[in-house]
Amino acid sequence: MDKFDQSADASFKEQLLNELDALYRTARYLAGDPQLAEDIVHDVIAKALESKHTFRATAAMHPWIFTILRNTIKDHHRRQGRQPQNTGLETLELGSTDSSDVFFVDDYVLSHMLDEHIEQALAQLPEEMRLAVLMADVEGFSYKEIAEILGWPPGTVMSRLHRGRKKLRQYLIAYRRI
Amino acid sequence: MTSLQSNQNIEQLLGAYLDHELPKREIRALEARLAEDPALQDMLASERRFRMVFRERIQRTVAPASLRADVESLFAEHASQPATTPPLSPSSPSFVDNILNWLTASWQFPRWVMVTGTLLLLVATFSYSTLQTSGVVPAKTSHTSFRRLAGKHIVYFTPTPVLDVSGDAAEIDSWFQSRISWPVTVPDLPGWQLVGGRLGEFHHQPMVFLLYEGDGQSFSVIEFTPRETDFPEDLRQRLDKTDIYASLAMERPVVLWQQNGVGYGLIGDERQTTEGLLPLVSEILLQISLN
Repeated sequence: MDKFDQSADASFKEQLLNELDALYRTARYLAGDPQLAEDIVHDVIAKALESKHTFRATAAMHPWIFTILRNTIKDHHRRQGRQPQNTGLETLELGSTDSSDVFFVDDYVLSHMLDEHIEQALAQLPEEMRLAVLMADVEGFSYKEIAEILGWPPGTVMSRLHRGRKKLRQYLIAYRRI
Repeated sequence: MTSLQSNQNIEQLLGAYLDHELPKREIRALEARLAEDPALQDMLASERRFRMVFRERIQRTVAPASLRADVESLFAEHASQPATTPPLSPSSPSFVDNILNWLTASWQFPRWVMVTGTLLLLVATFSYSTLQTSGVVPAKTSHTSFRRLAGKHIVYFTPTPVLDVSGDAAEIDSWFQSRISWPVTVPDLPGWQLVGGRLGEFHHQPMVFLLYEGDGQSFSVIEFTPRETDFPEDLRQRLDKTDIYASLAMERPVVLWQQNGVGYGLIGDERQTTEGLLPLVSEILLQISLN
């Protein structure tokens, strides 16, 4: 390997390491199991190293590696013989909270929102909504990037994101009442 | 105050505004509306605060040290592999041409026969894959645990072993007994020298690595808290009335099995084979049953 290749290789690995937290937390909140999330991310990095030749140095690592993450999760579901679904956490009845005034979360809920409430509320979302919310609101992907990575039409991205955000807020407000 | 009927639109509008996804014309219209509507300003501020807190909370979740160690081992393994073959020059025949030329030259069949045959082969492969997906044929598993354990072995013991404990078998045994919740077995393997041990982590639980050397070769005996997924059905074979699971992972032979609720394994070096490890596995099975 010459000096240029070594430098490109080091840069590629550094970029992968920079993505590790984002990959892990996305896998963690999708899989609902820290160990499974580790296994998924391990497979993502192994695939990224195998597919290094398909990554252009001028391209952005963030969408490229998330595309691999999405495919790895699909493979995982296929091996388990299941469709994307909610994690096994206890479900919370929303009752009649599907009214039009619950999209905006007040300061009281914000200040009393525990990490476990966020985790449980996220886990109640259908997987595709959860993925849209995590990619847009935590990882900062644009609608166009999400559409490309997940293979959804742009209108689907917008509707899943909006419905996911709304349900998430409804669940968090419902936790306040418990 | 905005009407309830339009709340759905307002939510989406404010959401897209904060996402920087609104066209300029709609941004101007919304900002003009915001300037005159305190309730709308409150909604925007509330949504902005929620997003900030939500993002900050989720981003507290970071990759654990065990995963970072696994990834470093993948990097180390990847760095040790030879570079890939450079692409053919533009003047060279294409890869497909090379294959077709080779096939037609060796079999003396017309090209269309070979192309048709290739298509039939692809259809058969696709059908097999569909059967796998539908469960008719067992699907190939990922063997992630094999790779992760082999990766740990590489990181801990190559090129130079980094040990937590060394000495004679009794000392090593005593060191692990105080750190591991099950009765650790330190096998006595004729012809092999116990070099030392390393306390690792697997499935967020402590695990044992025991390094043995002899005749220029080395391997590690591992003991860990097992999960069902560590033992893929497609790798199962029988040895001394016990189910064992053997595969190559990261170019090293790995054999795993369960005994008395504990996961055990053997990870060899690149010159060894899974078959070559079986006599050692047999001996360890016996010693664990007597322990």
